[in-house]
Amino acid sequence: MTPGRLNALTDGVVAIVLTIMVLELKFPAEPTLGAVLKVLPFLAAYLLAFIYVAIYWNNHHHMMQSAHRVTGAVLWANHALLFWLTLFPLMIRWIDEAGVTALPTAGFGLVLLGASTCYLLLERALIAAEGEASGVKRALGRGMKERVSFAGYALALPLAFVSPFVSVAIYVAVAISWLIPDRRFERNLQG
Amino acid sequence: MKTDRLNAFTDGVVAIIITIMVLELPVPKGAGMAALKPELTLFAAYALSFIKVGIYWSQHHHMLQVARRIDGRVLLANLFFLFWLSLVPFVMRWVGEAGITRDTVLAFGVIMLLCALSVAILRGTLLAADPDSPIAQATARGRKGQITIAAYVMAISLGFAWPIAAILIYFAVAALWLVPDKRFEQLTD
Repeated sequence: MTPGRLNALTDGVVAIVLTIMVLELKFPAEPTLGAVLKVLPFLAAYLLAFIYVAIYWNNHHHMMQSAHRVTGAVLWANHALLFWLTLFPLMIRWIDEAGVTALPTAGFGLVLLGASTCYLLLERALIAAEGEASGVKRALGRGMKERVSFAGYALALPLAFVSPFVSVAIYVAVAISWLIPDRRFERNLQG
Repeated sequence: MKTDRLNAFTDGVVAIIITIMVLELPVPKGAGMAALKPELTLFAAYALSFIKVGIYWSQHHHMLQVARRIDGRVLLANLFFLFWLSLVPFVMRWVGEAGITRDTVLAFGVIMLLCALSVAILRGTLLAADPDSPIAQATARGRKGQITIAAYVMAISLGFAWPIAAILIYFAVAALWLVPDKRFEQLTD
């Protein structure tokens, strides 16, 4: 089976996830600087969630460029990844209502942890479908960056109960490390 | 006719169905752990609905991978299927507002039954459009489709007296389909 429809469904879901998050944005209650400052943390949460979803889409896009064959396991790993991505809008709504407090910040970390786990599963399933000699396997290598990110989220989640801002700093740091798109696939496709 | 646009349209509709369900999820009232508790059932309902829609999409995906030719009746059957699938977020919202009651559990079962039936109809129209299609070959053995329909009928009847039994059947059917349909994979490799 070819990955055409898997990509189409993923693009559809990710496009909607990115778009419905904007529905959570509100105008400041009054046209004053104080009111604008009040909505700033939430705007930052929106921006961070948007960047994360975009990172996942970029990485998915890059990885699927090298994929030729999908199996049922690939479809399920992909569905599971989409499941976690759909929860980003909910988490930023929670942060909007409860502020940058322990539980919503940990919730954001849980969604990141779930998404990264499923992305790792998707890589595994693709390699199983494509074979060890495939372009996907060659490009991914040992997948160190994914593992480091996973560890980052696993660390940030419990830390949210100590200080939510430490967790946020870790989320931002991991996001920055992924802003440079995954060169592994580009190199492989050209080579 | 080719299958491209039917697939693209289905992917678009399913992507919206599976994504807007999250809008029904309420944010916990308050930042404490206790605030999470009342939302847990609805969250479980969301996860189950997500899995069900995922299953139907995968099933559609597998079947259409081997479909070579479609006609107007396939398009109509596909629309019929999408109609029932689009009611999943609606039932989710009802569960959100009324909770897990006899009627909401039954409604979920009725929607699931009609989704399963409409997939069976879709398969019938695909076979009619292309009688010696590989779909016939792939679905010749295995009774998963019939078992699913029978299970939903049973869940709806039991649900009148014991909603919990119906819920257990919904999860059991989902587990049955989590093992992807290898019959189509074998054909395309």
